[in-house]
Amino acid sequence: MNLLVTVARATASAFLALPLTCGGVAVPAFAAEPALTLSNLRATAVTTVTTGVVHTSYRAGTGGPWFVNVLTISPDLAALTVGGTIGAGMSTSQTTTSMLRGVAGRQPYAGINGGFFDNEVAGDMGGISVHNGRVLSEAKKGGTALVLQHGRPYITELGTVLTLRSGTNARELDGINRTPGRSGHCGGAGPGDTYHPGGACTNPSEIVSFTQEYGGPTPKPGTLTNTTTDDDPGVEAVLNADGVVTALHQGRGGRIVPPGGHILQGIGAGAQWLRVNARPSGRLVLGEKVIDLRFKEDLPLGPSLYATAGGDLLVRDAAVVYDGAMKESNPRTAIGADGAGRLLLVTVDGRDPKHSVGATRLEMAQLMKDLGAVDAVNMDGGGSTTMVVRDRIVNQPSDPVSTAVPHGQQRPVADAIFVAPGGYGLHS
Amino acid sequence: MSKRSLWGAVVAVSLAALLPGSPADAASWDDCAPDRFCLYTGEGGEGAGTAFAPENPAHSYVDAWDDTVSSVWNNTEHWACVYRDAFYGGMIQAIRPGFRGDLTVTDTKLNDQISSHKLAKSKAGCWTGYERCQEGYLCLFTEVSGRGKMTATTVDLARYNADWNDKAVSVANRTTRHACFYHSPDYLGTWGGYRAYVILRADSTVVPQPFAQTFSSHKLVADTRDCRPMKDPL
Repeated sequence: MNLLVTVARATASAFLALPLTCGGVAVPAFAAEPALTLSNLRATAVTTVTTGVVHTSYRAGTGGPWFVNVLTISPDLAALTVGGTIGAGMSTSQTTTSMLRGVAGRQPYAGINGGFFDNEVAGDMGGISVHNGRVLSEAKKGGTALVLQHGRPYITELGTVLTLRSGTNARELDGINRTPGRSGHCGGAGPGDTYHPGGACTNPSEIVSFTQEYGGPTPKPGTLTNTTTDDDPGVEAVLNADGVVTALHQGRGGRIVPPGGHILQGIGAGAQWLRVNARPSGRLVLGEKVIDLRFKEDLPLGPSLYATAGGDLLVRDAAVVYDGAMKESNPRTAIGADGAGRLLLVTVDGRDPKHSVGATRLEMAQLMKDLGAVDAVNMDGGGSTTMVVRDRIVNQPSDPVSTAVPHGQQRPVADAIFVAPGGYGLHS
Repeated sequence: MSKRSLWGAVVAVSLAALLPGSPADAASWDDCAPDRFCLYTGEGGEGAGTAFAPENPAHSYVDAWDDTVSSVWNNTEHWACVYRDAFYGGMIQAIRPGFRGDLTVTDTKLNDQISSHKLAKSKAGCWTGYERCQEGYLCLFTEVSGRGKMTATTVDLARYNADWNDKAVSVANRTTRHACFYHSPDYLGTWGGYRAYVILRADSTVVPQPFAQTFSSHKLVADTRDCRPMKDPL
């Protein structure tokens, strides 16, 4: 995939704009008539997964075809916790099923694929990621975010302020857990950035930090195939959990982040800043702040908070707010909360005219409102759209299994959202 | 003091827990400043009035205001969550940003019934009270989803006092350790074949039957296997 294609849709939703390159099935540019609404669907199966978690499947009553799956989660009714998982780490992508199986301490009842990610680099979140009280990916400028805390979803716009300081010398930290040289999800040019239509920025002078959650060796120069901005061998500073520089390596890549510590990769002017300021045995202070841009206040970080990158805002304060600009029908995933504080996890299958033709973003917004959503956000869709109930895939992912089986293959994704037991009895 | 200056004084007090006890008469819908949630004892914004900033919830009302609110003006961008009982307890009504009107016309039975309120960033936020539990604490609540009365601790407790013995309906564990709850004091007792109920660190949850309203002691542990050593002395 060349850079032009990559930056045209800087997330996995590139596949949404290019269905022929991915699913192999052409879909109409505009929604079929009649539109996907709840009134045009009929429930075909209603299953109580556990107390407080209901799975409903719908097929088209009129129009379509559509196959829609809805998880309705009522935290008041049972011991339930709603959270997210990044799987084995930020450097990898995994299937939703695999991620849910890896949730520590308990097996989730159900889950769906999560936030957007960069299709150029496996696992690179397409915006903010916060897990276990740590920022694992910088926010996209103006990007929406799904925040899970206190048992309910909160959909907002989050910003990050990331800084690096050595004594009185300070500078901005350009990114977290991504390859320096390119941000697939910048949302607008910052100083030194070259902005590419579609949302990516390239910049040959950056410092990017890696945390233990990166989950693999740090990237080497030239990892990105469609830009030269990450070709600088640069430098790599290793910090222990106290922020003390334990090593400054000329050249970068292939190292594992020490427990609780960081690795800083610098390229261009960023490398020069580290050469001056990251002296072995010296101390660097990394600052990270998350700001709720809706209400212009800090969002306190803590282990109970999970945040991931959302896409278009669909419904806010009980009104459809999506402007309808994007009109392609595709598989969709959305998350919302209804008027009774229940969570709604929703998938609409697509790219298979015999099974389900997908939804436009506007149809998805209307469907979420029809389902009772007061707030809802579009999550990663296309081939990423996956719903799992008790370890079984209940929708039809759109990617091909083989040339003979054109649909049904789970796509590896960056994170997953789940509902799991909130507590459990311990046997004697 | 003019009505307007009295309202300013009320806001400036910024009481986190209690409404002011000396309401002043307000003209209808007067004086509700931007970014304030205003309460009135009369319909149509008449009667006594008071105002709250979004960062100042009211966990309980003093007598002069308890069960007396008949109209509200939510002049904020938050949802206003009003509750029939103190400490976000009982029936809930979520009032949308910008709403101004009588409680008799909202879809609720809370006219002259409100005993506490808070402002939330989303409507869904009205259904949870877990945010009251500060980082580092284990919190128990008398109602579901962090609502109702709350107690908080950072240490093991071998014997709950009478106020909390057999009361917990939901729990927020914002400590760095897992919480093990027991049916009886001194980390003893059973529920059938279960000797402990575990809530992992960072989780908040409703406590299900048969465990709800039965906790009498708890331990905080690094590994859930450490919940197990207890045996009833026979």
